[in-house]
Amino acid sequence: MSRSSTLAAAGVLLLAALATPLPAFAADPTPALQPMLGVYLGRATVQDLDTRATEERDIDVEVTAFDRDGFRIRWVNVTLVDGRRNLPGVKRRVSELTFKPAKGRNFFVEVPQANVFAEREEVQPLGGDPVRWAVQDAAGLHVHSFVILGDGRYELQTYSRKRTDSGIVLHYERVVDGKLLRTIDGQAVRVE
Amino acid sequence: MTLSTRTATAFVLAGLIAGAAAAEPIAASRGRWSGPIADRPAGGPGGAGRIELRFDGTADRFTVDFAGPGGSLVAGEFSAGKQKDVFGPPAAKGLMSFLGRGSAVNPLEGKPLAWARRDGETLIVYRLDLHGGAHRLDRLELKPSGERIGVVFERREHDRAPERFAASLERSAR
Repeated sequence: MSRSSTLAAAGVLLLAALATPLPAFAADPTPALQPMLGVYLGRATVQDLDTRATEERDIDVEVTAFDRDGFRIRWVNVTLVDGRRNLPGVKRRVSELTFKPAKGRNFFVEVPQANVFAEREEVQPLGGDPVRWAVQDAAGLHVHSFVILGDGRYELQTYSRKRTDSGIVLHYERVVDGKLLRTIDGQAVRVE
Repeated sequence: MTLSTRTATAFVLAGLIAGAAAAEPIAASRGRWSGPIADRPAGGPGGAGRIELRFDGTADRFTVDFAGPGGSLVAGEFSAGKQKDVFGPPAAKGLMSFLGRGSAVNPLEGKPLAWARRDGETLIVYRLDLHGGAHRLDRLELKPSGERIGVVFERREHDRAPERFAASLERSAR
């Protein structure tokens, strides 16, 4: 092949590469996540649909970028006593999940917590391993956690955080084997 | 035979008869079934018209194909696993088994996850599918009783209210 024909072929390949549309997340997913990043503080109401019991909790949600194109979500729930957080019986729980884009697909998958002593193993949903993923759409960010219980029933938890002018609206559902057992609804404002 | 031996035998026989009367859902579901949807909200899964169930196999390995007029709703092959009364995808064979790929199916990798469980006289079949992260989680309950089988189908999808319908299907000729 002559030098000129090699250059022409390279030019065609370059043009083809430039003309090929890239998936939105592969191009640069961080800008799409940008509006969700931040710290939010607010309050939510937990409702147990079996017992009809309700409780109030303070919520503290932090969404940060992870590894260029992923994100980390950390949330602190403080379950209040008589609407207050300075009374005996108050409970505080911290949770954190990290997600990265799924290869070639427009959603995020959980990044397992690093454990240098553990061998990396295949996820076994039927062995009780949780399956977690997140979806971002125009409304906000939705995180799903799915697990098959020992007796074959399933549990699906969904956290939807939708953007508002001042922060986020939170809606959570816990469904076990088709039955909605618990909801959480609340609002949080973006911390300046 | 003494009186106590006869009494014990009678109890054993009564137990066996009672056991036989309780339908084992896998064996009792075998066959082809069809019928109209009895209770379905407008626009729900399955569409209007008749639905059909095909069930084949044994207590250790069986196939289910449940379809509405719009096409297949839930289908899969299941085999008994480590947990009692829980059935998962059949174990990999040949090269896939050699490569260490067992029966683990991860829906995050693009393959739907189907499993089933037996709960007394009811068999429940599940399927989780992710299309671009928008999940579809199906639950199909089968309760055979003689020449009829009761079905309850529920579909949960991302950002949509759950949809469900129930039907009583009749055994149809092969």
